[in-house]
Amino acid sequence: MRRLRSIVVALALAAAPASAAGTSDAPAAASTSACREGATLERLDRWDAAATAYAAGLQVRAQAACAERGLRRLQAGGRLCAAATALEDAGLDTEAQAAYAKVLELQPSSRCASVAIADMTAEGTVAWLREAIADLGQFALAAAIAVLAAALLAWMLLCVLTHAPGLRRLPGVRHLRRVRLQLKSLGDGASDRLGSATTGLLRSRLVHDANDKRVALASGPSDTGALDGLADVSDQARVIVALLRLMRAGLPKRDWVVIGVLQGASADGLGLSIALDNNGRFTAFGEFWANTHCGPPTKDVAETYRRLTIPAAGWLGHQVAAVNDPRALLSSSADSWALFTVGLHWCDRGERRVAGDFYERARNVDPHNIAALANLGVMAAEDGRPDDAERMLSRALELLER
Amino acid sequence: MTRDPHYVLDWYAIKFSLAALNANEWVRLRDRRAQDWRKGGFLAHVTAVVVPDGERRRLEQARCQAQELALACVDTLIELDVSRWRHPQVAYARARKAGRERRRALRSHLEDAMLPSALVLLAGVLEPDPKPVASPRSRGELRAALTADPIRPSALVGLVEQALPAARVQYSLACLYATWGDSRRSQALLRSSLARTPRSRRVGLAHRAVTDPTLRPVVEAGDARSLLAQLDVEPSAADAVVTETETETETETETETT
Repeated sequence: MRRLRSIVVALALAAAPASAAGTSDAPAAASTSACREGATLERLDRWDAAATAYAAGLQVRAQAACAERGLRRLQAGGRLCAAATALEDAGLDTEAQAAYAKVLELQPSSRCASVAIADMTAEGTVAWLREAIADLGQFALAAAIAVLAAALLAWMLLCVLTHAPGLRRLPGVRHLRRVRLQLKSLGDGASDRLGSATTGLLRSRLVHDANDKRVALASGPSDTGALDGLADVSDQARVIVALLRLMRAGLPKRDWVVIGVLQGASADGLGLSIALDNNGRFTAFGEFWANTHCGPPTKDVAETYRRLTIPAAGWLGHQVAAVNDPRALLSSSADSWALFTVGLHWCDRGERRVAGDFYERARNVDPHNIAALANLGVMAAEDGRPDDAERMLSRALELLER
Repeated sequence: MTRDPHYVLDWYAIKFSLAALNANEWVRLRDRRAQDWRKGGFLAHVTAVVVPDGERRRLEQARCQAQELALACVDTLIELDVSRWRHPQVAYARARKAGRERRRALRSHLEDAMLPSALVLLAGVLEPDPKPVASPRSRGELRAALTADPIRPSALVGLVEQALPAARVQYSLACLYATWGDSRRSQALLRSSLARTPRSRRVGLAHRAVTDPTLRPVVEAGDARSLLAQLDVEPSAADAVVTETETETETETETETT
């Protein structure tokens, strides 16, 4: 019996909170007080607090209509945005924007809050742009400093690469110190016209040799003044040009100057003498004479000098190639190579006998002239001397592979 | 720093000259033996059957040198094709051997001139295939074809003909088809070669064609005069060339220029 009574009491205790929750009207009471509180605060001109109280009243169905009416009344009177406007007037933009956002949260249809937020966002964009422009100036300055620093570093690196004995022969680095050939006008005692014409012809032959992939020579006129036009563009460009010139001046280079003179008639006929000057120091001297370097004799003076430019160009090209890439050379002697180029010239014009003579002379000067040997071998094959041809071609191949 | 001969254009030119010299000598000796067979009596018949050592040596040398040349061309082209990002060590070694400009010149020279010429030359000193075989489709396959035993000449020639070969290579192909007995194809190639040769050199090439003993059956089978007239060869030069074909009695030594 006692046990039964205790079970009934426990059940009654368990059921008590459930029944209390089901019949309680506590939120309604709270919302009622919230609506009244809102009205009271409204009368006290505390608009924000009143709006908050009405917003709380909206959560309860019984007081929703009262709260909604209160909020509409506040909005119609323009009092909903009053506090946010006051903050905005005080210059507290961030707080004002938060206040407007809160108003929109309470009353999404609030026009004053929507307009104010839109205006503030636009003002923010302008302010951001203003800041960005100011930052851009700083960025440009920083970029200029970075470029200068990078140029300085690059120059130091190039100096190290071109000076260090172990590094200056590396692929790419080798070409930093290319020879720049400047051909001065050849002196001519008789008339300047012939000297300048011969100079132009020699220069064109050198450029032709530089473009000839089989010979792979590198030469050409000096490129000073190539950046002069850029310096006239603006002060910044002038600074860049000055920087590049400074870098270029600091690097080791091979500025070669070719000077020469057309020789008058002598025991060997007309002649052409050329001297090579490297940074003020004499490097090499070559002379070419009509009787030894021209092939079939001619009485035309201009034609003689024109022919003399052929061995001169070959000789100069050999000097340049010997510095740029000695492995590409097919003969170690510049004089032998000059004779070979004359032979090549006559071979192209169908004068095989003259060409053969020059090849032989080139071979006499340098027995290891691979090009002369190979061409003599080909000519021997064409002349029906297969054994001679085989011997010469095999020798040329052996020298090339050595 | 030593020089890698495979990165020097002149190495290929000299090697080709040497191979062509041996091939031409072999053709000359073979033709002379054939002439002896036709003209000679019983003793000449007997001696002409035996291939002399000199002729055999020339053939072997030509075959060996042409094969070496073709393999060198293919190997160098394969090395030139290696990506610098995937194989930086190979690319670095390659850059040490030759600069960029020379590598570019070397590639175009090998692709356009030297490799096709070497393949045609090699095909010319091999026994012709009874039945044509498929051509290699990549450089790797070509390399395998060049090291195969036996080497199939029709595969090599097919590869050369896939791309439009240079006029000089077409001339060599015309010679090759003439030796294989395909006169129609040989004539078409000869015509194309002459047409694509610059006019300044056309007369010289036409002269070579009509005096070339290898091409004689082809030229004699077609109307040489009309062929040259179509190709804008000067009438006087054409007459001289045609007259020369009629009076030509001596055997010319060359089939391929060096």
